[in-house]
Amino acid sequence: MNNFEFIEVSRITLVIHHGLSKVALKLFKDIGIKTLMFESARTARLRTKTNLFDILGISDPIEDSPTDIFRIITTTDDSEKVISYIIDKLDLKASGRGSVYSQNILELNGKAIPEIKIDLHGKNTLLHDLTLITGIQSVSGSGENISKVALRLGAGVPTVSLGKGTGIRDRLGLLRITISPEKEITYLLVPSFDANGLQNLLIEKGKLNRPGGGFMYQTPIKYGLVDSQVTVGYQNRAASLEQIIAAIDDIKKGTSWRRRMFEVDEDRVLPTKTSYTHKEISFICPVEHSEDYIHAAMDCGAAGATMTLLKNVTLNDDNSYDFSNYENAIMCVRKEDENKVIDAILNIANEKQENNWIIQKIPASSIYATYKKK
Amino acid sequence: MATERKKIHFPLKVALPMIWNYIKNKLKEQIKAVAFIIIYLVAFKFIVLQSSPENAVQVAVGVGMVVCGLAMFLEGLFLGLMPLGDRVGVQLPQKTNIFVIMGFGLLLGFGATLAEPSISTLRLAGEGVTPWATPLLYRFLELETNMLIWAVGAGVGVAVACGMARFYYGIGLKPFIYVLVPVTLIITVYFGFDENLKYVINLAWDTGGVTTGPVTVPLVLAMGIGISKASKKKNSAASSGLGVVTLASLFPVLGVFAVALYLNNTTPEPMNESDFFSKNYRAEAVKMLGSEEEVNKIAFQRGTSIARHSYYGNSEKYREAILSLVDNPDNAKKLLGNLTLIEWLSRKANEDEKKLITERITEKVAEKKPVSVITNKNEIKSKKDDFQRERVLNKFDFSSIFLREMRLAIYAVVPLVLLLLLVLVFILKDRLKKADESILGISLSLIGMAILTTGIQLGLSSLGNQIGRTLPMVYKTEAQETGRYIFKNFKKDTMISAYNHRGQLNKYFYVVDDSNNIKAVPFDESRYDASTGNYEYVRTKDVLWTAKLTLLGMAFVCLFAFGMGYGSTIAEPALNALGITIEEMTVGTVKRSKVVGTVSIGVGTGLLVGVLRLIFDINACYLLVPGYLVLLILTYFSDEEFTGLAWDSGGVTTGPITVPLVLAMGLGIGGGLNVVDGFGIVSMASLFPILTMLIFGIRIRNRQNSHLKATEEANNE
Repeated sequence: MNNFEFIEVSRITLVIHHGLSKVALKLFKDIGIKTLMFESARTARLRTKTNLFDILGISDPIEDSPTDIFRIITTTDDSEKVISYIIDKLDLKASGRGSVYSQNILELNGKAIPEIKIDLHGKNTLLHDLTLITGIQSVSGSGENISKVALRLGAGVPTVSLGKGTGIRDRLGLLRITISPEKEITYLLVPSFDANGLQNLLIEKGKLNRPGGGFMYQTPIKYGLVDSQVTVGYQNRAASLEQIIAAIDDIKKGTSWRRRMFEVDEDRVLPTKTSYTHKEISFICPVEHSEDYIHAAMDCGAAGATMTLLKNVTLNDDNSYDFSNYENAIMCVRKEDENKVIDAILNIANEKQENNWIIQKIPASSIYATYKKK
Repeated sequence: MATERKKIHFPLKVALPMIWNYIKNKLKEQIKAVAFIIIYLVAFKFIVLQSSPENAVQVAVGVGMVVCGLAMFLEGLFLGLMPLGDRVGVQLPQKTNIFVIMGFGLLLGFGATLAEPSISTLRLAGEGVTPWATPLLYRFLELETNMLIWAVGAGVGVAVACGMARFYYGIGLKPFIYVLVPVTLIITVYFGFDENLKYVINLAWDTGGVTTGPVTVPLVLAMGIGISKASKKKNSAASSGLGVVTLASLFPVLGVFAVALYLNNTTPEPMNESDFFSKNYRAEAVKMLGSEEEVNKIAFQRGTSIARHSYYGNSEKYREAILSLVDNPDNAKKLLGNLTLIEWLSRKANEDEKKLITERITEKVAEKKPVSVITNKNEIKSKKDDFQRERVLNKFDFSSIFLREMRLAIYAVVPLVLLLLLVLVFILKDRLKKADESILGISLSLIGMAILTTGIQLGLSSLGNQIGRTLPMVYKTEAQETGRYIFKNFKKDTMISAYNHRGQLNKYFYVVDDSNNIKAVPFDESRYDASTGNYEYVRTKDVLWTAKLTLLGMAFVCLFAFGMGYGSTIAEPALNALGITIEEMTVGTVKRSKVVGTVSIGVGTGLLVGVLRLIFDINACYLLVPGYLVLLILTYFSDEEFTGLAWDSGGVTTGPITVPLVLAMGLGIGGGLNVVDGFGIVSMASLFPILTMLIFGIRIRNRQNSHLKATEEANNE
């Protein structure tokens, strides 16, 4: 067995349009990456269009485009280089193509960290003041779609992936069938200054504060580049607002200039704490293997887990790829329970003699859940 | 499992609203799905046919049952059958090898064909097939049914096995399409040149569409997804879990073709009716049909008066036999089989035979002898009470219909589930993940299916039949007879005389209709019997859009066909299961409602074309070959993901709702046009959804890529 020690690494997440996937895989291979995790998702944007020859005015329905999420692990030193290189090669500066960001995480039993071979000419300016808001809600829950609300609020371009939830549901007996396990996981990159305000706004407007509304938290981002193209289609200006915002971000080298004012009804939304009271733990293992681990974790204080399907992509030297299916169980646990949960998972792994899994953890703040914990 | 988890018990006060909400949501969904077809049918009945639906209560109960049945069946699929399929699929590649998987696929496909009674629906469509005009087709449907089922079963088996192997090795669907479709088309063209074989083309292509039923599709879909989840192969798009249904629509066609070739050597050439029934050919005919009695039956059930004349040789015997239908009910039953005398009279008998029989019945009524059959429900007014009694009897049949449907549902679900469970327990050494949920799901799908099919028979089918039967009349130009009444002691002095615009003096008399309107109708001397003083009044309905607007009539037939196809496909459970699976697979970028809508439009168009084909009697080759060639071209331009999705949707469209409604319509229209068989409608209903889905796929991809392209162009400049 490996020596069980958490190593600090950089998790680079690249969110791009499905059409760019092949280019991205080739690019990863070229810089020496051997393996990565891949997840299918969708990106919601507003499509501005004129109705019936302008007679009925302009409407902006939501349009989804297929999106792929790639997660690679590098050393913390390499990560900036890699991101810069990706931005150049995939031309992410042009808005509407994708986002990329890096998070410092602690990883246990991860795959070998690749040696990066890049000769970089000049650096891209990256935004250092970003936060990732992760929202999890039932597909058929009572809340409004987070991605819809986020778009309407101009909070950013949401990326949505699908997952299945386990938690209280599993303990209801047959009554559980009345609650759908399908969950939507919404990722939203926002400026750190606005993160709490936006989150509260999302909670209020998205009616997450109703029972069964959903779950939301923030994780820190080291640096990254945000795709800000909220609207596509009909445009009546030389440059879209998003392009202007991106340009100013670039000039100002940050997002603090666009701090927003929020009018959130404080009574209706519990103020969220900014301090990192929780840990987001990802347990990654081959498909259909996580059940026992999750149950063990839930016995030690994890409220529940949301599972998404991942594909582990192995990049071969002959430019071919091998896929194998993994699942990622995302749990948000209190700091106090963190070690207990990880120990419980390790115990099960020992019992089952399984070694094909990865644990990643990152601090999480501003947890918002509709149900109260004991 | 590490620890048995503590259960939370909710008090009834909390649980009941949860359950109620859940049921409400499921029902709401299905009401939405069924609403279109119901409103459409009722509207059609009121507006176009200008009559109100009969048996309204029964229809309403039936519709309610359809909604409940659909909701239960679909929920059963998602709780029980699909997780089971997925579980088996995930485990198979991990614990066994490819040979076991393929063997299992073969067994599953074969079992599914035997279990789901789809072939019987084809026999329904072949009711008008005759052993003289299309001997090969007749042998297929009536004599060698087992061979047909085996051929189709083998086809589906091979298809499922190939499909599983595809997922295991991660091969795309396109190569299969590029090989199978041209081969099938070439055989089709070859068959088109043979007198006997050309009639099998439609049957073969139809079996392709019919084979995959509402239980098999979701099960195979889930299993495919499971296998591709667990196999560690290249090319992620190929292993999406779609494509088995496509193969299961193509291989059976080849299977039927093969059997047709085999049977063709021993089948006589088509001949004319009188030759077939003539005494000289009798030995051959008996050899083909089995017995002399059978030949006699066929002359009545399938033949025209020519057949009967030819069979009996001289006219005296012939007359006797015809009259025996009235005099001797047992004989009538024997000769007519499932047909009642009324049905026989309206479908098979010619004018002379009708006259012969009507005379005999009138005679009997006049003599006050008991008449054993009611020839027309309105013909003799005194019989109206009987008619009402008949209606009551129909209602009592409910339990027997339900029991029959329940048995069919058990046949369709249980063997497949057992097969999967056996494999899971004995070969994979695994057990059900959530046993309670699975059991609930499987029971729900069982009961749901029975309720659904019963509801269809009570409600939708009955409503559809009411229209389907009368619809061909819409484009006939003569007035339509709606009933006959005998006026006893008809007083000639109540008549009035009136001139027409050519100056002729005609006699009329007044009749009061149901809504108390007085109407003058022409007096027909031939209907007046001076000796008894009885006048037979033939009530007619005005011709819709007088003169010769048959084109409009035809337009209505087409509109009806389209709406029926569209509406019934929307509610089809297998399609909804596919839609939901696709929405999940594409993370919501392809919406379920869009998939269902597009496929339904395709089916509607397919039916329209199928009906037009029947009306204009177009050779199926001329539609199938170019149609599939277009599909091949479109497939070339589609990406792998949408290819599987589009081709699969062609196979799922024929299910428990579409088949009874659509086939009934095809038969109704076919019957009205005296076409040999009602085949070819299903194959069209499979071809066009693929077409619409491929176009939809290419469009949606282009649209999704549009803004990406925009950014690229901006960069290049």
